[in-house]
Parts: sequence; structure tokens; C-alpha cells
Amino acid sequence: MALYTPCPARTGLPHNRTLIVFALIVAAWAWPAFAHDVSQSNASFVEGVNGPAAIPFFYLGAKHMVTGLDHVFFLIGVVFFLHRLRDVLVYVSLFTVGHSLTLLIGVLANVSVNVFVVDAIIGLSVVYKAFENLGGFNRLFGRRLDMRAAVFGFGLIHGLGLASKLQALSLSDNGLVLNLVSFNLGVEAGQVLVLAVTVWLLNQWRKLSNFEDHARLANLALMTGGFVLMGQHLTGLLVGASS
Amino acid sequence: MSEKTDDKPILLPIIASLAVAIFLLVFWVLPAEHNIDPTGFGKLTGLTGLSDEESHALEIIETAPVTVTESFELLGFESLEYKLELTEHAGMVFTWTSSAPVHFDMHAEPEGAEEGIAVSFADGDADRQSGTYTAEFGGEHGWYWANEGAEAVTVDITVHGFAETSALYRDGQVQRKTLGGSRP
Repeated sequence: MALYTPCPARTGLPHNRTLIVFALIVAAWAWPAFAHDVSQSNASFVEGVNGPAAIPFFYLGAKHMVTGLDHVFFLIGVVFFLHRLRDVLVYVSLFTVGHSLTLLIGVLANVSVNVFVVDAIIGLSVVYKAFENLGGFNRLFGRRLDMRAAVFGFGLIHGLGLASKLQALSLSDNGLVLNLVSFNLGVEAGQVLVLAVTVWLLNQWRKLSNFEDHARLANLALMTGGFVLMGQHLTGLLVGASS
Repeated sequence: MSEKTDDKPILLPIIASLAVAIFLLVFWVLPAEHNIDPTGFGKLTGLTGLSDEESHALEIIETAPVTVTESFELLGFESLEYKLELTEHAGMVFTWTSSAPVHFDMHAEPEGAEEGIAVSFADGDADRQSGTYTAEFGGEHGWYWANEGAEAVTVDITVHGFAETSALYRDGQVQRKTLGGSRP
């Protein structure tokens, strides 16, 4: 441990903190990724619903966000180097506005795209953000894209993916708008939940003197995760599996 | 945003990250998610089993179905159990009626399970119930009926399904019957 502090009572702290951070990251990895796509019993519920069901749809939205490893990866990437609450709010709002727009319009206007393509692009968005966090754009291209536009754009794509997945479940028109808005509110609630934990953990992590080294490794790990998601969904697209 | 502009290598780690991703994909994710298993690792470890999404909408069974019709008289406060032996995923269509409401419990006991281990699917008080039933596991599947009144009642049941034997549990005794399932 490189962090020295004169107070003997606190000397054990950084080490514990590292342990806790790593334990939580491992826990996040082990999170049930299979719960991401609307699970079988949830799917039959959604198909069976005919009328307003705000609370179940709210729950499904939140569950989708909290258990969706791809969304969680992307959010971690976005807030990785944001330590001011204001910045967190700006970026997350951009993402939220983006996916809310395409989720609502997508379902209401019956716009649907191939879910594998969207999921692969979401994987790409994780790779992109990790690359950006590693300073890749500055280092390799000498310039970088406008992060705000990128986060907004990926928000649009995440929303389109949600819209396509929901439409694949043949939703009833009865109470559709209320159910959609509830689902979207659930997505926001899930996002706040994920972000609260993520931002807090990152802030603890930042206090370590070797955070820079950790950050490099963490973003490389994120990038690996993004590559895996891309490979998984591109393969799904190629073999024409049903999602 | 704190962009790092240090001189640590960047290209090599990214290639390493891609290599790790390809390793994870080839050995773990593709076998488990898409049943694509170029190395045989998935088969060796059983990972490929995860992507077997068998549908049980159609279950082909080699024997012909049988139709069983039984009538039981339950004296006051008497109870009995009538069970059919079904293999996993075998199905039946059933209907039973009773001359007066009885307490019933439709349940199943997995083959080889300990005494008293059962899964209950429906219970309550009624004078009839009909339905389709698919066995989630091999074992004995059927009904417990209890006459909760003093008057005798008659329970009539008809089952059309893929059972080979039936078992009647009554007065502490078991009476087994081989059903006329004609093997092709």
C-alpha cells in the first residue's frame, strides 16, 4: 500500500477499501446476465397483459437496467472519470433523454430493428467509452469526439434496443402509453440505483493513490467486456438465433 | 474529465483486451449462448447444455395413449388417492366430477423420491375439475380426494393420456393396474 497516514487507526483502511471495491466488482460481474433479456415468466406476463399495469412495467424497467450487464458497463464507463455531481447529472440526463425518446417513439410508431445489431452496438458503446477513458482518442488520433453527443447517440440506440425487445413481445394497445411510461420510469429508477452504487464506489476508489493504474486495468476490463458482448451478439446475428 | 496523456503503452493493452475477449468468447460465451463450440471445451465442460432450448410443445411418445375411466365411492370422511405413472414430459387430459363437493389435491411424486415428497399443483374444495397436464418429471401423478362430509359421494374420473400403470391408494393399501397401452 502506497498510502501512508499518520493516524495508526486508519492504516488498515485503504487495503480494506481495495478489497471491498474488488469484491463488489466481482459481484457485479457475477450478476445474472441471463436476467437481462426479459426472462421467460416475465415475458409471458408482458404478453398476457391487456390494460394498464404501471407497477409491473415499472419493475420490469428497473430490473432490465439493474440486471443488464451491458447497460451497467456503459454507465460505469460514462461516470468513470466524472467526480462532480453536476457532470454526472449532465451525462446521465443526456443518456436518459436519448433512450426515453427512442423507447417511446419506437414502440408507439412500431419502429423495430434487429435486436442483435442493437446489442452489438451497445457492446461497441462500452468498448468506445473504455477506449475514450484510456485516452485512446487523444493518444492515437490526436483528437476526440464530443462526449456529450456520443452519450446522447448511444442513449438513442439503447432505447431503440429496448423498444425492439418490447415489441417482440406483442404488447397490447390497451394501456400501452401508461405501461411504456412506467417501463421507462422503471429504467430511470434502475439507472439511479446502479449509478448511486457506481459513483460511490468510484469515489472511494479514487482516494487510492494508485487509482490511475487501477483505472487503466478497469477500463481495459470494461473494454474486454464490451468486446465479448459484441462478439456474442454479432454471432447471434450471423447464426440467426432467436433472442 | 481527466484525460490521461501519459506515455504508457496503449495499443498493446487494447490488443490484449481483444485477445482476452476472444478467449472468453470462444471458450465460454459462444458454447454457452449459441452452442458454437470450435474447441470442444463447451462439450467437455457441459457449457453447451446451457443453450439447449428444447421446446416441449410437441412430445413424441412411442406408445399409444390410453383412456382410463374409474368411479370411486367415498364413504363419509373417507379419502383415497388415484395416481398414474407418467414419464417426463408425458401428458394427459383429464376430467373428474363428484356427486358433492370434496376436498382434492392434484399432485405428483417424483420417481425414486423419498416418501412424502410431492409437488402439489392444485388443491381446494370442488365437485369437478378438468384440464391438461404435462408431467415435469417422471413419477406418479394424480389426485387425492377426501370426503369431508358424512354422506357418501361418488367421484368419476376419465383420463386420456400416456400412462402405463395406475395406482389406487385406499385404506392403507395400494392396488396397481397395468393399463392397456398397446405398444406398436
